[in-house]
Amino acid sequence: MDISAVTDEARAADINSMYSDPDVDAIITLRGGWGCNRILDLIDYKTIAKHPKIIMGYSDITSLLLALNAKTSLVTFHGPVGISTWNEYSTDYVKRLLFEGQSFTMENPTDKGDNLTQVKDRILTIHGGQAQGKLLGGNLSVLTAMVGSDYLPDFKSNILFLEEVGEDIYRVDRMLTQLKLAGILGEISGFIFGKCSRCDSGESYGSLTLEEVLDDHIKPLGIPAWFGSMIGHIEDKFTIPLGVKAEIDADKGSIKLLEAAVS
Amino acid sequence: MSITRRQILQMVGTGLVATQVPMASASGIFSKSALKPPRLKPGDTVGLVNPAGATFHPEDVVIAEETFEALELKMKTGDHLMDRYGYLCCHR
Repeated sequence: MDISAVTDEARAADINSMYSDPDVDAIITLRGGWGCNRILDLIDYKTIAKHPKIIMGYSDITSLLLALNAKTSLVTFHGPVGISTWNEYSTDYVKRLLFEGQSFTMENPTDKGDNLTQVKDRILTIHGGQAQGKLLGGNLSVLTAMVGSDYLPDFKSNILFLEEVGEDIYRVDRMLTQLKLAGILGEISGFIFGKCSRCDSGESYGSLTLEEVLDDHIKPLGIPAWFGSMIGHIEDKFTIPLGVKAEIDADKGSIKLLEAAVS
Repeated sequence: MSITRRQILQMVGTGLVATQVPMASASGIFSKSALKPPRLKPGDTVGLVNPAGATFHPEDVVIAEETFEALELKMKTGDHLMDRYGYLCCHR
């Protein structure tokens, strides 16, 4: 018997039944890992469109967030999973976005602690300016693995946000190159890179820095872009609503939501 | 492939998976304007699912439930939440 089909069917069935279950109001994933791309063709998009509900997660869940938005226009949420750190910083964004339906501005902390200047969580502007568009994105590896499929939303004139964990810098370079060759980088209106946690230089002689790689790919686009936003495999993080219109300012590193994400 | 899946579905008694969902184009077969989900309210129920990697620690589910309780939310777990198939959730 085809065991792998069973596991994919089972994971998809849990998503589908949460959307069809009238007793369930929202869906939050327990963790990421790998596996969401394997179930995209088993998701019941019609039922989801009929019963829109909040779905939240990040990392591998990027796949579901993007596919549900592409297929149903549902606003989905790049935010904490069950096993995330639900500290005050991250929970506050969840509350304002999901419970209170606020539209607000997200900006990195400016706390300098007892240092003479801020050293932690600074932003690095790649190209200044402001842009508008729908927020779309998630984990770089997961998003890149969807290129060529029918499950990515339209990035044209929208804002791409990315984060990554545990990938050598040359791999980040490779994946950004793929997004460029796929035409995605050339059509977005703005670019946000969150944190690249444990993105090392690899074992060979010589490496580019992450900043060099981002400069190589993003600076020539001439669009507002920055690195270091509070998005990624970190404890203090924004919750980003996919499919919601926003205005970004790459000089400040701010994301201003132009509409509420929930009804 | 779909026949195999259907047979397996009958075997595991899961009738909810659509094997014949029409594949929409990337532009979507539904509305182009944003489809906004209803906001959360205290007392609402969150469905906890695990569509990616397997869960190895039952304590994670307890911590998630206590987190939701602190937000005044109830929790309902997916049928396959704790299933494991190698590094993937879910096999039974």
